[in-house]
Amino acid sequence: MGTFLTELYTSRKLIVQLALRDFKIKYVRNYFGLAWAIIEPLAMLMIMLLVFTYLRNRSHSEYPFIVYLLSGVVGFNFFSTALGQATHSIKSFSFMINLVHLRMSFVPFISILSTFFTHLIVLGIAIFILLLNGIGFSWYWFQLLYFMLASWLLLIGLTWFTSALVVYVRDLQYLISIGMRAMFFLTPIFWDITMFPEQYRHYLKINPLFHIVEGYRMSLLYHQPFWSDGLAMLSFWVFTLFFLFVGAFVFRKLSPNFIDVA
Amino acid sequence: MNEEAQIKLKHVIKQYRLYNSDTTRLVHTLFPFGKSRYKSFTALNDINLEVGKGEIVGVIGRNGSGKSTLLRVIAGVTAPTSGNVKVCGTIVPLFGLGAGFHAELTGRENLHYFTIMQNFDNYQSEDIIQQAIDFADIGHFVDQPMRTYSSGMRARLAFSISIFLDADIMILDEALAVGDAHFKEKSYEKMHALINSGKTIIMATHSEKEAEKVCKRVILLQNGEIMQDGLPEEVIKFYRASIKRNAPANKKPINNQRKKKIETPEED
Repeated sequence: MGTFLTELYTSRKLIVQLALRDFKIKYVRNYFGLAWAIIEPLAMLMIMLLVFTYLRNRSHSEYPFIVYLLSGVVGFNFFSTALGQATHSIKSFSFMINLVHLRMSFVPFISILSTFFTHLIVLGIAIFILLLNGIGFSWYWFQLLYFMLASWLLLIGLTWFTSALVVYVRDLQYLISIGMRAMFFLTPIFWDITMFPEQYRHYLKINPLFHIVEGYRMSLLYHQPFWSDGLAMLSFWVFTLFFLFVGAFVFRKLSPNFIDVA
Repeated sequence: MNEEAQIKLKHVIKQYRLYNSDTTRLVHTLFPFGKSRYKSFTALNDINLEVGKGEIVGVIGRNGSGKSTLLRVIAGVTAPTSGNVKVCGTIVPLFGLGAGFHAELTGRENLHYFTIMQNFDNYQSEDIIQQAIDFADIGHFVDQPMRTYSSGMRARLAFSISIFLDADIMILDEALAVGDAHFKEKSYEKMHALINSGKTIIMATHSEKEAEKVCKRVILLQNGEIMQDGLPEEVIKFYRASIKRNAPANKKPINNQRKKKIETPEED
């Protein structure tokens, strides 16, 4: 654990540079370049806004729907994009195995970080839109740092697991994208927990993404401390620790073979 | 070799496991107990090798004889199954033609990231990159995306950046195979200059002419073993003779069974 952290510290520049490279490659070929990092999620948001404004139950939220939706979807999108990208990371960075003396377990970090750059840009725009809709600044906004850290940790554990396995079992990527699509509906992005009867709410909070998505709202809208939903928080950390351990175990076992398989 | 050994390999063995499928490999890697269904392929068999500072060593042998695996083991890219590898100094490995370069980035950008990947500090990397660009001499293509390059241009750029990174040891795997005569000539000169300044070079090559011209010492690998190790003329003579003698041996099944993905994976 100690050597892991010191190595992470010494490799930090390399990881950041490789993430920047990844970020650049993603956008370099398009005419609009970096603008897509903004246009794509905004377009998605507009579509959801159109669709769900009709469907939603008007009773549940005191906030304008766009504010509610935006504050929730930002965190979710980061998570789901990062999961997808980082699951591919061992494959897409396999050229590096020959070149760089970088601990393999840092490779998913590169993808997560590169997605995180986009996330920061989108978050900036989201906050701008919130301000336009009359949501004021609060010190609770800085609580986002906790939720970002939390998403990072869950992502690290999960993608150690998925990125190592997908090298052997390619089919996994389809399962993940189906899974994330299901999670989109199981997480309170366009719906509200109060729309469900009291006795079912606990089950919805088992979903670890509940803590993240609601957490972004706690920070941006509700101005509640991050521990105010104990059950969701507990479930999140149980999942996160579980995946960190399982992910580390699986990755450790499989990574020596990457050079032969990836 | 009077100099102290800079690279020292002792009883190095590298075996690859050939599984019937990725699934059996996965299961056996995760739970390594019980009898498993894999065949071992010995890519390197009991290699003992010492290379001193300032030496330039060529490695020759047929496809699948273990050249690349040997270079990989020396570069520390892959660990030997057993045995001991000791290397003093920094290494720049160059496997494949421009592996690590991305087609969508320009030559200059690729060089930038390449130097970073080799862990070189930023403050001097601009100089190094400029020198490499001058040496590669590919004109205005430097600022074009790499997908517009010919394979020769890519190789030139990759080779140039490797020699200007100023590592103690350079490992070249077929680095000059596609360069034109003029560039090769220029590169040989540069390599000699590097050797004279105390660098060590190990290069795998299929060009006997190149081995004879550049190297002071040549190693012949065959089925993962060092068959010959000595002066270029003698080793090459032996190699030529053995090719003639064993020409039908090519059809031995062992050669077709080479592990699946040993080539440098290209980025897409």
